[in-house]
Formats: sequence, C-alpha cells, structure tokens
Amino acid sequence: MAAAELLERAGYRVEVPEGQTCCGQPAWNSGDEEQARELARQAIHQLREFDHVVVPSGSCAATMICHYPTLLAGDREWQDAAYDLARRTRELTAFLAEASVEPTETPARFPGKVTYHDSCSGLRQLTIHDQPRQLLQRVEGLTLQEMEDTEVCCGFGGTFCIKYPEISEHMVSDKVERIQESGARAVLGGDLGCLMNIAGRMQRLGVPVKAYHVAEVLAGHADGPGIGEKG
Amino acid sequence: MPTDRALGRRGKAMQISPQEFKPQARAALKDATLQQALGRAKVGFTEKRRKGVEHFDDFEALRERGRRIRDHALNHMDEYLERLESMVQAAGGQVHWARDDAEARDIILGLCQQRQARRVTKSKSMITEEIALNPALERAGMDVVETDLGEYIIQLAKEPPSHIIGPAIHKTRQQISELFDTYHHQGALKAKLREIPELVTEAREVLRDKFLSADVGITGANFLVAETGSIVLVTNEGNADLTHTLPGMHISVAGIDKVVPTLEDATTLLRLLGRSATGQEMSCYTTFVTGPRRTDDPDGPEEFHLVLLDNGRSRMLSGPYRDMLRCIRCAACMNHCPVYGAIGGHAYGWVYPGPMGSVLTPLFVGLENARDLPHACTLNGRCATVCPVKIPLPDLLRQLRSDQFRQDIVDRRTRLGLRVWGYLARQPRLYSLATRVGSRLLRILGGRRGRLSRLPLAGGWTSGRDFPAPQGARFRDQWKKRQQQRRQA
Amino acid sequence: MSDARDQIFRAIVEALDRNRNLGGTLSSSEARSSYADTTPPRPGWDIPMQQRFLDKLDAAAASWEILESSEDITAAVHAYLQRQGLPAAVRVAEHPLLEALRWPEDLTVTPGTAHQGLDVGLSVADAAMAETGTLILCSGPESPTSLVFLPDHHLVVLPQDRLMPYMEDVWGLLRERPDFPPRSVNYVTGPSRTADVEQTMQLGAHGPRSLHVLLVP
Ligand code: SF4
Repeated sequence: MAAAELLERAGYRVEVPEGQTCCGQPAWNSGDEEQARELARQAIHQLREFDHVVVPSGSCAATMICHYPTLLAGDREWQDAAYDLARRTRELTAFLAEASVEPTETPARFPGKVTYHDSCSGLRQLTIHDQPRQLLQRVEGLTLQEMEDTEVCCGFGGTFCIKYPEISEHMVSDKVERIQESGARAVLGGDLGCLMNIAGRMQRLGVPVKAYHVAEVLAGHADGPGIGEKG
Repeated sequence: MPTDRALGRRGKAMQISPQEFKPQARAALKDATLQQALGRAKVGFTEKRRKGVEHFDDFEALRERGRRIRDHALNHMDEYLERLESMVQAAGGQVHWARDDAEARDIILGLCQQRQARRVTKSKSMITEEIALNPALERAGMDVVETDLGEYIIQLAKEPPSHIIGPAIHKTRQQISELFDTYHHQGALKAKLREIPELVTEAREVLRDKFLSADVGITGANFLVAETGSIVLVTNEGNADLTHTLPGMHISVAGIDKVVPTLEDATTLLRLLGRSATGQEMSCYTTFVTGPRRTDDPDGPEEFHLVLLDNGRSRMLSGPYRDMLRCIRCAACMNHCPVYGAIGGHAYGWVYPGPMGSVLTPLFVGLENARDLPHACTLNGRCATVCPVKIPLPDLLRQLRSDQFRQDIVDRRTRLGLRVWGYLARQPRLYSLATRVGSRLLRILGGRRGRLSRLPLAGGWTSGRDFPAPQGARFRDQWKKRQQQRRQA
Repeated sequence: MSDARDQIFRAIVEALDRNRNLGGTLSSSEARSSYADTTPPRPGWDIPMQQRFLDKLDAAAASWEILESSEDITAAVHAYLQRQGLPAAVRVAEHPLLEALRWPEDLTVTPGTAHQGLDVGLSVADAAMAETGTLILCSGPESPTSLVFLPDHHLVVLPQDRLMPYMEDVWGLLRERPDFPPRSVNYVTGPSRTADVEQTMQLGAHGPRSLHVLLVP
C-alpha cells in the first residue's frame, strides 16, 4: 500500500490487475520449470498493457526481469513478450530513483538510526544498492547506519528456510547480531521474504528492533508496528 | 562415476556421505569447536580476498579474461590435450589416461609398485581425494604421507579435508596440539596447548625425514600447459617442490579440464587464483614442471608420469554444466558462502564442499546420491560474484534442481506442495480465495500477539523464529476498498 | 590403456562437435586471438621498476641488498652468516658467476645439491619480476632445484639486467634459452610459509625460513 502511495505521489496512476497471483519464483527455484513457465506466461499476459510494472520486492522483480526471458527463451510466441515485460519492469526503489521525483510537499519523517539489509536478488541480479539509500536521504530525521556484512544473505532463500530450518536460523541469527551491533532502531529492506525472516527471528529473540519495508518509511507510514508486530 | 570404494572414505570419513547432508549439517551447527573455527576462517578468507582484489586496477576485466581463457581451452580441449601429451612425451615423460577413479588408482598403484615404493609423499591435491588414492596405496602396504601441513593434520586425525585450500580450517590449535602430542610424543605432553611456531617447526622436522626417504612423490596440478607440456604447482609451503624434486619418480594426477593453451594464459589465471584464494598476488612457490630430470641435471626424479583423469568430465563438457569445468579450485565460492560458513565442509559429504561442491558432487556421484546438495543454497548469488572465472553457480544449482524435478527425484512433500500451490497460482480466483482464507486463519492463529510461534506444515520455520501473522486486511482487499472509496468520492 | 585414451578423446570430440556445428569451426589459434591479441589486465605502478621489485620483496618478507659489483658477493654472504649467527659454511650452485668468485679462506664453500640439515644455500636467479617481487630459478646444471627448497636460508644473486616488469616478459626471456623448458621453472616469492594453523601466517613451513636477495650489476 505504501508503495502504491509513493507511486501516486510521484504522479503515476497505479493499478493492481485483478488476476495477478505470483511471479512463479518458488517453482523456478525448485526446478519445476514447466509450472514456472506457465506462471510467467500468465503474468506477462496480465501485465501486457502497462507502461511500467513496479514490483515492491526485489526477488519477484528479479524473477520477472532476469529469469522470464531465460525461462521462455526459444518459445516463439512468448520470448519477445518476456523481454518486453523485463524492459518495462522495475523494482520499486530503482523505479523511484530513476523517476527522480521532486521531494513532496510533506517529506516523510522517521527520526533515528536505521540500517539497511541488501536483499540478495535485488543486490546481485538488479544491482539495487544505491537507490534505496539515495531515497532514504530524503527522509527527515533519519540516519543510515550501515551494518557489517550488509550484503550477506539473511538465510531466507524461499524454500531453503523450510527445507533447512536450522541452517537458515543460524544465518538469520548472524544477521540479527549484525543489526544489533549497528545500534539501529529499525532495519529496512526491499524484499518481503527477508524482512519476514529477520523480523520473525528478532521477535523470537525479543530484540527490540523494528523491521519495515523501505517503502513504508519513504511513504511516512512507518509509525505503526513493524513487520510481524501487533499494533 | 566413482566406484563405491571412492565414496567410502578413510577413517571417520567412512561415515559421511552426500546423502546424509541434513543430519551432518545439523551436527555441525551444534559443534561448538567447529563453529569457533569456522567463525575465524570466514572473516579471514573474505578479508584477504577483499584486500587482494582492491589493489588490482580492473579485477573485473581480469575475471573476464580468465573466463575467456578457460572457455577457449574447453572449446578446444581435444587439440590442447593432444599437444600436451606430445610435449610431455618430448620432454621424456609418460602420459596415462584414466576413464574413471578406479583406472586412475590402478595406474598409480602400478607405477608405485614398479618402483618398489615403500614410502610415498604427496602434496595436497583434491583430485587424489576424488579418486580415493590414499587407502588404495595403503592397502598395498605403502606408507603414504601428506606433506601440506593442513593435509598432514587431517591425515593424523583420519578425516577428509573440509576445505579445498585450507583442509584443516575446521581444526583448532588445541586439537592440533593434541594430535601432535599423540603422534609425535606418544602423549608425553599431556595434550598441552602449544604455540603456532612450535607446531609448525615440529611438523617441518617430522616431515623432512619423510621427504628425503620417499620413493615416489605424487602431486596434483593447478594447470596443464599445452604449449610446453608443463604442469603448474602452486603452494606457499614449498611442499609440492620437495615432493617432486627429491624422490626417484614424480607422478602428477590431473583432470583433463585443467589444460590451458600457453604459459601466458596460465599467467593470467595465476593472477586470478592467488587473489581469489588467499588474497596473495602470487603464492610463495609457483612451479612449472616439464618432464623428468635431464641428463645433466644435478637433481630431480628419473621418471615423470602424468595421469589424466576423465571421471565424468567429458560428459560435463557436452551438457548444460560445461561452465563448471572452468573452475580453477580457488575456494572463493565457499569462503563467501553463508551456508558453508554455517556448517563447514564435512557436512557436504564428499570431496568438494560449498557451492562448487554442490554442483560437482551430484555430477560426479549421481544426482540421486546427492539429493540435498542442489537445494542447500539460498541462491543469494554471492559466490558467483567472487568466482574468478565467472561460473554462474546459482544458475547451475537451479539447473540441477530442474533435472532432479524432471527425473522425479524430489521428495513427495515438496512435489505435492508445489503442485497445489501451482494449481492455485494459475487460478487467480482460487488463489485469491486461498490466500484470503489463509491469511484470516493466520491472523486468528496469531491472536493478540500478532505472531505465530508454531505454524502447521512449516514447523521448520517456526522452530527458530516467529512467523509474522498478516497485519490487518490482505493487500488485495485493502486495495479494492480503497479504489471503491475513491470512486465514491 | 590406449582404449581409455581413445574413448576419452571420442567423448570429448563428440561433446565439442555439437557446439562447433553451432558456432562455426575456428581453429584454436584463430579462436584464441579473440582474447590473446590484447595485453591482459595486470597491476600497474608509477615508481621505478626496481623500486617496485624491492617493495614487493619487503611485502613478501624477503630481505635484500644492492651490491656495487659481483665481487662483493663473497663479503655479503660472509656478513649475512655472521649477522644470522650461522656457521661459516655455504652450499653453492655450480654457476659460472659464482665459480668466478674468490671466496675467503675461513668460509667453507662446497658446490652441489642440497642435503639434510643444510643451513645456507646460494643460487643465481635466471630472472625476476617486479610485478610481485618474484625470483625465477630454472633447474639445470647451474641451478639445482633442491638448493631452492632444502636449506634454512636461501641466498639468491640477481643480475639486475634480469629484472623484468611482468611474468609475460619473463617468459619472453626464458624462451630464448636453448634448454627451454627446463624440468622445473621455480617462481619464488619470499620465504616459505603456512597459514594452516588457525589461519595465522607462519614463516618457514617446509622451504627456507628466510630468503635474501643480492642484486648485482
Ligand atoms: S567455482 Fe569459482 S570460486 Fe568456486 S572454486 Fe571454482 S573457480 Fe573458485
């Protein structure tokens, strides 16, 4: 919702297609190419008429931008459409940074220290690194305190965390330690998977750091409970 | 494909195998000593590489050059292997071809017996682990001595290497002190913790005698240079050089994938190897060995044998995994892998651990014997960004998953889950309904606390963290409501 | 055994042909020129080459001194032994440069290969490179390989005109030798070391504990 508001404030008309479900990443990463292909076709079809497709989660955006073309390579009917969609698709912060929107009348406020977790798909497949940081500079009162190993995986990995929960837990514990060491009061990110993983671990451990999607902070909505907290 | 004997490894190693990834990983996570050692290694290796790369103007261009050299060599592997063979022979060496691990073992064993070898020194080589050479030589009554310090330590501990360039990184100083006490002092030191220089000097002295009394020296090869018929050996300790210089026979074992066209090509790859592995611009000793001792040489072995091993590599060359053959065994991928960092190398169950191992092991031992490995990865992609020859490791792992799926060797629960989810995702109405029901359910389960500490079907997740219950209405419902309100306004 | 060879080659050729048919048939030398005609990326420096070399020797924990003439080698060796508190004995390679020297009486100088328990060996480098502070020694009658690895202290004479900027230049120089390639070309960068115990660097693993370079005109 925060993402949609940000886009509207930037002067875009936002629509959420009715028939939209999932980008198919779980199937693709589990080796079920056939199913991934079908979901890709479905998404391409549903999104065919939009000028821009903005995705608020790095890994989903990466699937659409980097993997649909691979997945549908050699499929005469769909190959070009996949490239076309990839061309129109952006991860949210990349889109906002590119659109170089003028700061709005009422800039968002978020006083205090935050740290940013680079989600792996966003960082390595879409080279999202500077964009969210640039955007965060516009938030009043916010200081970004980088943590150590900010580019190291949090251990989510989609089905990975279900298949190998102990390893995943070890990794997310490391991540939470790094977050705590940074002294930030909130950790921001651009990928819901990672954020849920991190937030889940922090709550289990009783760590008083909040987790927000970067869009929530940019839209000035990060005054409520963090991800996974009850208001 | 390796025979069963190669899979059953020495000592404690016998018990571990790629099939047992899950329990092995679990045990590793609980092993406090191992965790202590891993913590140190992780920081050490990544820091060193970072510094090594930092001081190079255009490391990306170097990686690209490395990739092209390796691709080119693979694309013309037949020509370069022929050239290599004829140059080795011209220098007075002999070349042997082995289709699999058993053939390689037989060749090497035969050579050692022909030499009536009693003692064999070895310098660290992953390929001799791949063919499980040591047990074969030992069964034939030979004294096999590993001379790389790390490899020597784990030989004493009767364990396999846990890392391809730091085989003993999982051992602490205390453990090494204990091993040396047992084997060098018959327990007289009462396992006293000793300083590093003392331990290194002691190993140096013990191994010196072995070097000087060895009948055969066995090395691997970091590269094979077609142009001159040379093998390239890279070490910091100098053990490879004592291994090939002092005994009467030098046997080098190498995969057919190791061949590169020229000395200059090897040079570029060396620039990549050192920096990626240990952050060094150049290892202490890099040696180009071509054939045996010449007539007027004052030292060196009388015989030189090169054993070239296929063992599934030619098969890899033809399929979607050819990129993997570019690997120069630098270990950067495992050094930067958070999963490796959490569980160490032994959990992977075979010779090659970490990301490169998760690709190689299923290809060497069969996908059905290493079901877990392709999945033991979050696809975070850090390995691919540090790989000096740009191997797309996550893509290859995904490819293995897809092969697995097609060959129907995925566990039933996963397959079923994916089917149901896929079916729903293809029916937008149903998907919408299912997620709505699901999210309500979760919210109710989450109750006032707003988070779930136990979740049906995803027990793994909730054993160590809470599952954030959806907050308020689902996005899709919120959105609808908002659009309606707007329309009314 | 030739069965194995044939079968491996057949498998390789089969695997490659599939691709070659797609990508045309370039000979290996033509295809190689697609990358090999340009200089490879390599480190640069903006100090004199010799300075770079010496800096890199330092970084590799090697020591060095610059001599005014090769006649000074004997005195330098003598002084080194005294500084290190070593017995006055040295094993030397049978290299013309060293054979031409007149050794002081009180120094035991024996030519030949290295042996167990040897303290000091003296060799002459065939080349060196500034890129990494590396000495290059080729095995041969004038340079036993064991001398590079067995002694505790390795002293190496480097004629300055043998110093090259990069490894590629070293290959150019070595290729001119009639005996190229020798059995063993040794690139030596500093004394032997290991980090196998707790990732801590320790000098003197299996090879020499110290490496000392004597640059001569
Ligand atoms: S896959 Fe790449 S990073 Fe890993 S060992 Fe091989 S060359 Fe090194």
